Amino acid sequence: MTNGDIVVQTKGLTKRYGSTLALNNVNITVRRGEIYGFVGRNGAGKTTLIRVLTGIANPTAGSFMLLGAETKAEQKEARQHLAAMVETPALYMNMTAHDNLRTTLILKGIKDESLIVSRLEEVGLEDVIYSSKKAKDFSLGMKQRLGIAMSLLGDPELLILDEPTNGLDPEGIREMRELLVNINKTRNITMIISSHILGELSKLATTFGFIDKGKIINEISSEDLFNKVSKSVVIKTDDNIKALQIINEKYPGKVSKDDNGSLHIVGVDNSSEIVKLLVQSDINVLNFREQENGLEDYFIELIGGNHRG
Amino acid sequence: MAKLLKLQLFRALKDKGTIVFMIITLVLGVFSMLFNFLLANSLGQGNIGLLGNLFDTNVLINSSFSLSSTPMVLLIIMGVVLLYKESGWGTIRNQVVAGYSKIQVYFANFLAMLIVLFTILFTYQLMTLGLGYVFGFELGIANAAEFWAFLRSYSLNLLIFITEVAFMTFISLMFQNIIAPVFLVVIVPIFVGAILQTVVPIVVIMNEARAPEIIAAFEYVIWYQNTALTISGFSYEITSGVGGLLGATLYDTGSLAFILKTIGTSIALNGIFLGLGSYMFSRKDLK
Repeated sequence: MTNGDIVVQTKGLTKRYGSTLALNNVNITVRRGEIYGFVGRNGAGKTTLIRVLTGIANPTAGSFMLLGAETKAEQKEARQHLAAMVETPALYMNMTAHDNLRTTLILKGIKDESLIVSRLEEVGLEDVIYSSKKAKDFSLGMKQRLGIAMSLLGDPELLILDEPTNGLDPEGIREMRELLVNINKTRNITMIISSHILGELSKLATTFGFIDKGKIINEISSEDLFNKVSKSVVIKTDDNIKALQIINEKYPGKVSKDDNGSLHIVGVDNSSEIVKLLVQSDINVLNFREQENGLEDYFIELIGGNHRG
Repeated sequence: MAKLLKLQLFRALKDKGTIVFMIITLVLGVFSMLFNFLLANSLGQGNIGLLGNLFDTNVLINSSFSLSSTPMVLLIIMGVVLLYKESGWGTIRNQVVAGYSKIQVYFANFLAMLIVLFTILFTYQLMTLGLGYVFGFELGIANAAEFWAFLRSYSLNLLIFITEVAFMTFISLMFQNIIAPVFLVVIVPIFVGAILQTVVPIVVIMNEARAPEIIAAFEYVIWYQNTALTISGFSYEITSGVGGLLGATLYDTGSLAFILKTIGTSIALNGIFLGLGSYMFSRKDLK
């Protein structure tokens, strides 16, 4: 992985609002082509980080690299290759979908007006291409789609979306997810998507950054996340040190020890194999149980500070 | 910057409020001219002299710049609302995300407001000229000297108009809400003079030492507030009464001292509202 593959990298990014520390020494790395899922509770600092990266807010301390740009002046230029939807879709509510896209064409100096039709079709808003219906009369889902259509004008390299499924019904959430995955695949756009619902992001993100109280508490690939949250085995033996060593040799990186001395093994399909392995090594298994860890359990455990990672 | 300005003008054109305010301004302008016509006729030729040249078309045109005139009040409200919509809808964020600096955004907003508001005001003034001709008002410009006097007043008015738009932009973008700009931009310029003229004598009387700095500061604020009215054609001077108490003069709009003081003050205020304003805006987080 070279530096050129890194699209966003923050170093000690800090943002303070009065006495409130909204971002506390945040370090994240987003690589080209990734869908980076940015997860945290409401008020955890997701939107603040996005606001800083997009230039809407100024950081109090720290620095960041955006599309290869380090200085403020370079970042201003780099933002021409960035598109973002922060909090709610920023639309001219008194304009039609067509005119809203025209504002983006003007802003980006794009002459080709045919792009308006193709982008509206791409996000499934073909019904309103020539409609006189104003954006204020759109449903929330339509507004979100329109916001994304506006973002796609100018072929951005990086798309930042803040809670794009917020307020949508289940059908709308599914459609939005499919749209984003499709955009990522067909256009190879790197995405940062924030949400407070891990289960939702887990269906599309390739990397996750967990934030709580302004601090990044974990950055993990989707593969590792699923290993952690899939079915796990909890074992207590009469020689946990030896058991840990043996299991680690057979299943490297999949075993950890908690504060109570129990061993947690994740990502192993056949749990009886583990018991067999320990018995063959003359280790007595005192307690054995299988447990299902949901994504939300993992998330809650993580922000509660009891993660055994 | 050109793209930002184009965007601002595009959104102003697409805003129904722009058209509505323009129509209201022009309709009220027609009524105002009709009222002037009826008033001038009812006073009779002999009494017109008491009012000086109040009904000369050139005076009516310049008086449309006055902060207390109907078109200006309407235009300022319209400008504040138009500026606020960008913050309210969050669309101002799109411009920063697209790679424009906040300073560019600030100046584009200011320039767009200047163009839009002046276009409407200028249309109003053209209409005043046309209706003045129809109603038989004197133009009030009979020779080159009077023409230059008109042009001088118009230019000074324009300078104060630019300052007012700069002030409006400053307040609107700093507060990013609707209440504060409406209050500060619409209410304050109209009532500040009246309030100050009540407060100043009290302060002067209470201040036994009559500190010259305090008196001078109050006098100066009143002077600028009144300047906008004075050069707009209103005979609204404070050289007597309170003004006399303070020794206020400088209301001869043709004097070099008045012109220089007006230009100097306007440039200084524009420097504050545009220079300092754009710097502060660039340091500010957008809503």
